Amino acid sequence: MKQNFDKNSDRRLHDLLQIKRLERPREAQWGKFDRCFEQKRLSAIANPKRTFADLLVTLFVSKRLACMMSGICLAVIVTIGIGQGSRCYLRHGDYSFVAQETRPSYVRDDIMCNVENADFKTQFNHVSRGVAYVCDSISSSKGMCER
Amino acid sequence: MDVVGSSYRDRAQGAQAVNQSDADDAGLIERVRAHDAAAFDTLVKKYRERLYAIIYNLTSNKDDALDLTQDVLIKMFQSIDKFNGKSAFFTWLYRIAVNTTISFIRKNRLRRFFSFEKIQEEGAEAAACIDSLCLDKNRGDRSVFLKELQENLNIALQKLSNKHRIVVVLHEIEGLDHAEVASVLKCSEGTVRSRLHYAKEQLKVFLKDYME
Repeated sequence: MKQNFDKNSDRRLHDLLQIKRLERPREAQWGKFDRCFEQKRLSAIANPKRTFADLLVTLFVSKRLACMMSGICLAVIVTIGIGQGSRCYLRHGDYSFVAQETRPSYVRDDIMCNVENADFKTQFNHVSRGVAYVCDSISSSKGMCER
Repeated sequence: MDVVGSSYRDRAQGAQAVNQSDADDAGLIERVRAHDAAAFDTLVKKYRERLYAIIYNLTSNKDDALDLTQDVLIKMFQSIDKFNGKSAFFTWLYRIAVNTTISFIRKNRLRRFFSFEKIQEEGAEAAACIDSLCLDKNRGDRSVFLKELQENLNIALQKLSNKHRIVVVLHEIEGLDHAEVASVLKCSEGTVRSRLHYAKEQLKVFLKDYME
């Protein structure tokens, strides 16, 4: 019996809600709608709304910007790396430099130093934790530092 | 005339028509992406009334509904490239409409007022629907009855929470099935059924004068 009542009340409610389907604007209203909408659309085309997502898309889709951003990132990473890592200021024409080790984990009996294009033979000092190392016999791209 | 039977049939036919038109939509969407203004106009004309109906039934304000319908169509235009075709186009569009409207309602919850559309009494469907509700009313009483009913229906709908009102509007008024409502709201069908049941129970209480 309760089920029948529920069914009837559901049906009645459904019928009542159908009235909402009959609430419609007149045809003439769509003419006004079209005019307003055309203005809004032109305005939207002229002044596109920039969202954060759009900004990201622009950044990552634009090739020029992507290259520029990559270059900047690379430069920042290299700068930070030079600033924080072992400070080796060896350039062409330099025959000695001081290397300072700031982190204990890097202190070893022998340290490999990358010296690109080191086609010269020289000696240089390397200081770590107050201990002076004398590096020599560098005649290739890598040199061995010895105490 | 069995109004309920016919309305369910209409709903089924409406859903079928929407599914059939999905294939047409795909072509139109491609053309809109290629900046074809005529294709965009076709999409607008196809969906504006349905969008308007959803927004109007959610806000119960015809002026807000017109503005929001335009905003939704602009959003569709701006973000049609993001439509990936995983769901039906109309569910994607209805989702934009629902989200835009709910966002508007939340922003303006302290200064809301209603303005109703006129009930269109022309047509066989409308006549059958109205007659089933006020069979014993004469013409004069009938218009008063309809006006009161419209007002009370809108007030009752606005008393529901947003999430309950949405499922009632999409399922009971717009005729989407549970799966389609779930797709619009990105939730499970079970959630839709549960919200619908709760909303109907509340509406029965709010409209108890009309339930006999």
